[in-house]
Amino acid sequence: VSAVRVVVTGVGLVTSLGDGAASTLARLFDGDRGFADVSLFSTDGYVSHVAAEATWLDARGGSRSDALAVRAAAEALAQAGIDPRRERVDLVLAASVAGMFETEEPLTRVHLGQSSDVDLDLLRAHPTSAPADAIVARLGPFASARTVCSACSSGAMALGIAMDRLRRGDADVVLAGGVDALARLTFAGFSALASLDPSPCRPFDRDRLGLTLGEGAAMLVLERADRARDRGASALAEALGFSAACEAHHVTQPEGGGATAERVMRAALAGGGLEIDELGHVGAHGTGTPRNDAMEAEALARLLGGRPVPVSSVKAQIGHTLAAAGAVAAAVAVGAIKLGKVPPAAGISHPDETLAITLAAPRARSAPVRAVLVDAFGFGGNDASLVFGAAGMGDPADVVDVGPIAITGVTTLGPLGRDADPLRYVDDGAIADVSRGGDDPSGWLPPELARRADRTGRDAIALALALGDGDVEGLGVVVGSAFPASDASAAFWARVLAKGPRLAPPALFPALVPSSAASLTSIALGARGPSLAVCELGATPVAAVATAIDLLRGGHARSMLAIAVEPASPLVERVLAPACSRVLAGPRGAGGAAIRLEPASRGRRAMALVEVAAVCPEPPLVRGPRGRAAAFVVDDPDAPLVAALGWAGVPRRSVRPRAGWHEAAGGFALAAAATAIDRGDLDEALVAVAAPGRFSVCLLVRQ
Amino acid sequence: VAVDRGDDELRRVLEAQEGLVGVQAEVVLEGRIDLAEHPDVGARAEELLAVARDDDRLHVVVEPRLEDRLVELAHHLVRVRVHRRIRESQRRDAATRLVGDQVVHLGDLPPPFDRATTSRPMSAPFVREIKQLLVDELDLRGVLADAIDEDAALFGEGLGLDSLDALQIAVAVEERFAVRLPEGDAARPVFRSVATIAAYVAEKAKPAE
Repeated sequence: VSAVRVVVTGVGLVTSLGDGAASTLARLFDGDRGFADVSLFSTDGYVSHVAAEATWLDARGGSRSDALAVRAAAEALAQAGIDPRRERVDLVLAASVAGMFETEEPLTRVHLGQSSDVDLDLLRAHPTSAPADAIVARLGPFASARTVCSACSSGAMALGIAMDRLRRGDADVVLAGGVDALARLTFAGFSALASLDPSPCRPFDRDRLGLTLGEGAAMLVLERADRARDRGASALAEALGFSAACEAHHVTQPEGGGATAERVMRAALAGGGLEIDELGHVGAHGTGTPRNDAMEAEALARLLGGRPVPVSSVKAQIGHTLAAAGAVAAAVAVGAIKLGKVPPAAGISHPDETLAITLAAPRARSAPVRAVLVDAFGFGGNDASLVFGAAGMGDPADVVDVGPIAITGVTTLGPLGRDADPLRYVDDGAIADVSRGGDDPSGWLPPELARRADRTGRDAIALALALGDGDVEGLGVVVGSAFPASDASAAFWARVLAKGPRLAPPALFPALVPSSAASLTSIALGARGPSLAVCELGATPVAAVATAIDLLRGGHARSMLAIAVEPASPLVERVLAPACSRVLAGPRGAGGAAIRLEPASRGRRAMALVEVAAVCPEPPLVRGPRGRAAAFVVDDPDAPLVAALGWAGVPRRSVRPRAGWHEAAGGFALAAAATAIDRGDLDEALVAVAAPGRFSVCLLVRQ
Repeated sequence: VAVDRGDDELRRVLEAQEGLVGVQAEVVLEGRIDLAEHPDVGARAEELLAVARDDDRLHVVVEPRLEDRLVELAHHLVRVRVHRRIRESQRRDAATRLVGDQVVHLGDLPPPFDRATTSRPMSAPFVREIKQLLVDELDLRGVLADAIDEDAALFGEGLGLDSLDALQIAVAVEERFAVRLPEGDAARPVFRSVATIAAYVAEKAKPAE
């Protein structure tokens, strides 16, 4: 099978330098730097007072993240001439901060028990999935929508997943990218980590002292090349390669020497069929922290082998936009290729002579740029690289069809304890106290693995250890959670409020990234495949399975753990779930499930095969049941979805009476469905869970 | 005898362990108890397979089914620590978790009732406090404050801490003792060990005379 070529037909880019790709790129290539004293909030008591703030942004009526995401998405679609209302477009968005700026104070008041009087509408902007919801509401419907987070490599992860899907022929057009806004919480957190440079950041400079936060969004319209050609759309650049892996090394420190970073860069280039000599620029991650830049330069020096490929980091001009960063760098790469400009390395007074790389000029140089390597690295050692090229460059690798994906293991952690028989969650009779959820794994986890994990992380690690996998080198981890770290964030901010910015607890901050549970799980297992979070309210468990399958089919892992966890917490129970998941009554429950997925061709005994795993704003098309079949749901409100899918005639089993209702409860349904097929009780099982704004469906069949 | 832990709190601590029925448990009760005044405590402890006792400590190993007896016993204790030995972890054969004080230590440490440990001579000022601060602030499940070697290197081969821990230590010391630890190159000699941090704190925290 020859590979489908993927082109970029639209770019949206909003940063502190401008409201739109044209204005941002013009100023970027001029060497402008978009830093100023923060106006959004007080920076008293911090070492740094600067950020790259989008001062032009009018976010009235929503969160800054939502506004940035919608503007970038609208710009990209307009340039591409694509309207999701008239054609099939999928959405993959990277986010980590989401509505934190708008919700950090009210949530902290609730956390401290000072108030439970919170505007629920406002809280709908809080979840990591909110910016994608805002794009869907304003510009959709989309054929499917997904939010991913792998800390500061998220934007590259989202684009890579989109690129893979097009290359396999699973999509026609995908709008993908990333967004993050400024927030007090991230400012305090990076300050506590001593990661903020008091001056605007100076990546690759001898005197660099850290990063400077920025905010923005970048969205690309990615499209099959033949389709773009047929409709007469012009290709701005080709999306050629993507690779992602986890260093499984440390929550904040990059792996010394950059071996994993180098491996990922090489894999992205190989995937695009590109020679290193064809690279015209490297859009480095280049945060400006001493360690990241040293590690990245070391990896690049080995990769480039002395070739004078100009390297620069856009963060020197628009700051570190966190989950958006990889997508922002990708948008700049597309601009460089299209406009024939080598992006500048701004803000450098004294190049760090110890780094064996060639820095770009202080202003953009006009020259054909045939191909660009984009790096994005994040907390937890999440490394991702993308390769873009001019039309016709490279020779993307053939798509290797890994064949059907099998579930080869399931485990649960819930009211019935650790690793209970999953079918007991669909037995008759309610459990008196589901809200107990399950025991805190800190009671049995090896202490050094549980360190620095919040309850979400501990549950995820415990589930992963229960399933295990000998082949950790090729093992990837997806941890789904609707409100990852919301509690820990409120606790962190409460401590900053009480004790002042100087005493913000640095060790607690890394756990506030939505992907921290996934990172800690990868580190605990030594798993070096991609590691990321997905956040889709009650559709999260199926979203985790679908994302794991994407990464398996993209060849980025040999096996994947799809984990869904939702710990019980007063903050989630009292305000976030009622606001976002619209569930007001009844015991919530807690815990979750882990599901191991791998190509059936790998030979491990399959419990069931996954025929469909989809999260869509509208119920997807699914064939009717065959043989002995049943539908597994969380609760009665999922029944209309089952009926809409044409499965009303089969027995329906709910997990709510025994697992409780929470956003990860669908994980219990998935585990029970796979187990029922494995035991020979069923030939097919449909898992269907509806959540506000999305429907999740998984069809499991006997091998 | 001052009692600062009521029945309810201890019961809660013990109940938190409920899911682990059947594993071998080691419970250490530690407190300042005048045994002459409360002979019944000693007697009950003996009944619960007392292992050792000295002037101010009782160390008892019990089966999990006997744990409820400890609730009664708690009335007589200033401080209660509950350890539980776990034999199911993947990376270690045995780990012991201490719940009562949110302090935890691993099973392969020397028994806490080792007389050599308990009769250690008085440490320099702040050493004991810094040890406890490390355990509390760095989420060091698996380490008993008393078992930390005050002269061991904090980073690398010694205690195995990292730069994130160093940042947290600096914040915690500033919060607890109102002493700002040095940064950059000046931090190196101070962050060498518990003893060097304690010495620095002792010097800077000296009350003005």
